[in-house]
Amino acid sequence: MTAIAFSLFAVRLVDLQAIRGDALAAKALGQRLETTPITAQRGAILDNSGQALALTVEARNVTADQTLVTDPQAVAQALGPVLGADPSVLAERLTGTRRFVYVAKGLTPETWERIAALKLPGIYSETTSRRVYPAGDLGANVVGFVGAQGEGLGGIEYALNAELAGTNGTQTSERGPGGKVIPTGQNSTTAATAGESVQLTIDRDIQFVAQRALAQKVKEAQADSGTLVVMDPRTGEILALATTPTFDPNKAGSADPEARGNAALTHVFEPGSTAKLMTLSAVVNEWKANPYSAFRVPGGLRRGGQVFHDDLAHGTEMLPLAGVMAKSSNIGTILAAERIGGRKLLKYLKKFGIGEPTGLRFPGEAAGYVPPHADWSATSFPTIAFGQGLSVNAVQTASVFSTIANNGVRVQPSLVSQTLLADGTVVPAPAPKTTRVVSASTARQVRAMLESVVTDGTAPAAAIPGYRVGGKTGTAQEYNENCHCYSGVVASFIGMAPLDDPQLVVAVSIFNPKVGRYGGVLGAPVFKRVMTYALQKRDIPPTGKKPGSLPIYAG
Amino acid sequence: MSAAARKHELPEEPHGLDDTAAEQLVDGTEQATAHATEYATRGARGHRSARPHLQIVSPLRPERASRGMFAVVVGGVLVLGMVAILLINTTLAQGAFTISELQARQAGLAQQEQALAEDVAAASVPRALEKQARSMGMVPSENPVFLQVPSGRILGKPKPAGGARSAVPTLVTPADATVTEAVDNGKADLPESVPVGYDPAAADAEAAAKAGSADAGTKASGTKADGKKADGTKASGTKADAKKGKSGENGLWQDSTVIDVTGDVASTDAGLSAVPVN
Repeated sequence: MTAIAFSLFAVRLVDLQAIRGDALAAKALGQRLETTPITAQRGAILDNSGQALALTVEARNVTADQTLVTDPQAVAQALGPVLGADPSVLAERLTGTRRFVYVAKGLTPETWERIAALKLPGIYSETTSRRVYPAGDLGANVVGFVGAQGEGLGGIEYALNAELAGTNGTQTSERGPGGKVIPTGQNSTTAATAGESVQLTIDRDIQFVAQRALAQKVKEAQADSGTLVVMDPRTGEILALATTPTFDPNKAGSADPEARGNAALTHVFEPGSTAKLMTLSAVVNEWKANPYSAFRVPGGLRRGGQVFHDDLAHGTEMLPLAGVMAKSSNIGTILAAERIGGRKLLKYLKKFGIGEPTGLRFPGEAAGYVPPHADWSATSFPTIAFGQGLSVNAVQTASVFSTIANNGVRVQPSLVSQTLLADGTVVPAPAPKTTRVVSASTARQVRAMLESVVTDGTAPAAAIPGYRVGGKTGTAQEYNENCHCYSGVVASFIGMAPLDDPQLVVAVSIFNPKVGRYGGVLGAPVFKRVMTYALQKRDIPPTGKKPGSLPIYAG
Repeated sequence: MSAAARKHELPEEPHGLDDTAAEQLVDGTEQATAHATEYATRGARGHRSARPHLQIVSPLRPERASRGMFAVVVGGVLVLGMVAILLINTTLAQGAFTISELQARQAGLAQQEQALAEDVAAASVPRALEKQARSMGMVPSENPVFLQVPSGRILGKPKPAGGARSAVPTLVTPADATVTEAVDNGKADLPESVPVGYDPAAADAEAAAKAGSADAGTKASGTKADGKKADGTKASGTKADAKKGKSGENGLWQDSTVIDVTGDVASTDAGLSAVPVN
């Protein structure tokens, strides 16, 4: 009898120790091992001088063990003033039998210190992180915002989320029943890799001036919205990208979703007269005209069964190409475009980057659209020639003018100048793609024509004392998706300075203004303010040259 | 304590006790015991044979004394060991306390640093800077004036900004200056930037004194116009500007000849400081 019992024990022993021993030991270890994630520090977003536009700081979440909160009313009364919350709401959250509830999230460490000093029973904290945007709405539409879990949801925060977030690590350790780490037990750590910091091309000072000047004008004109792009034509770097309305990324949750996007990239519109720059550049580049070539411009022009007019009615007049540009004559532009034809024009539009993504890879970017030649109607060619019937975004229009500013070479726009790895390595952004669109000589001639727009044409308000300035106004009709009709206008001005060696391009677009409608009236003053400041900020001295004097009337 | 040495303490042992004594020896190999017995026997015979019979002395006494000592020593070691462990533990605990205290302090300081860094970031955003500057009576200059370092040219027309204080010329090294130009102009001798605490007025006065009488002939007419403006009120100056119109703007550049730096800056300063400050 005893022998049988002992035999059974022996069998069990062999079974437990020899046969299932390893598996059981592993299972036991598994019960003791606990893996906790180590959150990687999210990288910062910096402006072009290294000032933070977005950074991650330590924060505290206040938690409570409801079973240990003996007097919820008293605790709530004590917490209320510190948290700035209604004590009755807090008391509700503190009452119950749950062992873990959140009381408040994302507090500064100092606020937690004040709560800790109250020594309230059952009130604890956990360390977490908080994304802060010290400059508030400054550059918000570029920088973007993060969600509750710290994940990028808009702008650069979203586009470069993987780079910014880094790689989370893990901490594995053996723990006793009480949760205490067993010192001699297994203990392994996989370190977290901090996220990369992203340095933008945005200059926050110029951005600030741009945002304010634009917001002011949009308000004055009672417009729906506005966009402003400041670009260095030689590098393609976007120095400022302002949109109105904007939002505070610190309170992104309560912001209007419309205001959180970046209209300068996501909103496409028909460029109108500013597109005449491309048409006339193409004509000059094809040697079909020069700034002095005279055109006999009638008061109305019938094409494809429709009569086209200029904005201001006039009789037949003789205009040189420079005059067509300066007076923004639709008819003159059509006549000039007819010298090269539709296919050539289309080829140039493509080379200027119209209808193609800017290469910024910004979330929600719209590439715009140029109808292919096969889809053209009888009126397509004349309307496209003066900038209707095709759509662009604000950065594309800035890029077109940058091409002319940069002697005919288009440099792909960029928003990120470099990334900084956690170990301090600096990784410069890849060199931008460059494309020759028109010859340097064409660019020079077109720039001279742009100058006459400011000196004698539609935009005297864009003149900056001491500097030579060139630009083009645009007053386009805006297509409304809702009514499938044209309603409202886009008033724009895009210009460059100093004209003899252009180093800055500023593109202003104001959508659907109620007070005023012309680009020369609404866009040009904003251009002047922003350009004046940007020239100062970039230490660009006046070149001290006289403006050129192209004739805008043909004798 | 060897067996042989121990035997010296037992010289009077009677013969018959040898075995007992030997047996009662605590330590020693068999050989050593045998040797000691022989020695003891001989000693008794040789020197003490005439003595009367001696009383038996307990052979255990030295053994007992030895055990007591041993206990004391072991006990001592034990106590010492325990004290040492206690001390080490206390020190370790103390170290742990110090570490956690220092860690808490480090965390506190890190938080403080973070809070301060956040404050600095908040105070240095353009909006805050502008507000601060305006509260100190500053206004943005819409009209920057550049002093070209190698040539000494003044680019732009100095003019008071927004009805408040004067615009101070901004020092720039023009990007288009070639290396040869820079060398020719002895650029290396020129200060690259204005040192902190630089007093332009004093420097100008000094330079003017060195140059003797300022060369009035090299003064640009643009500067003269400024002087005129300074004489009148601000309003009249603005009117004069407006009247000049486009030709005035063009004229500005025709007039800007290469001029003596010190002379021009001095006169510019004088002109501007005479403008009443609103």
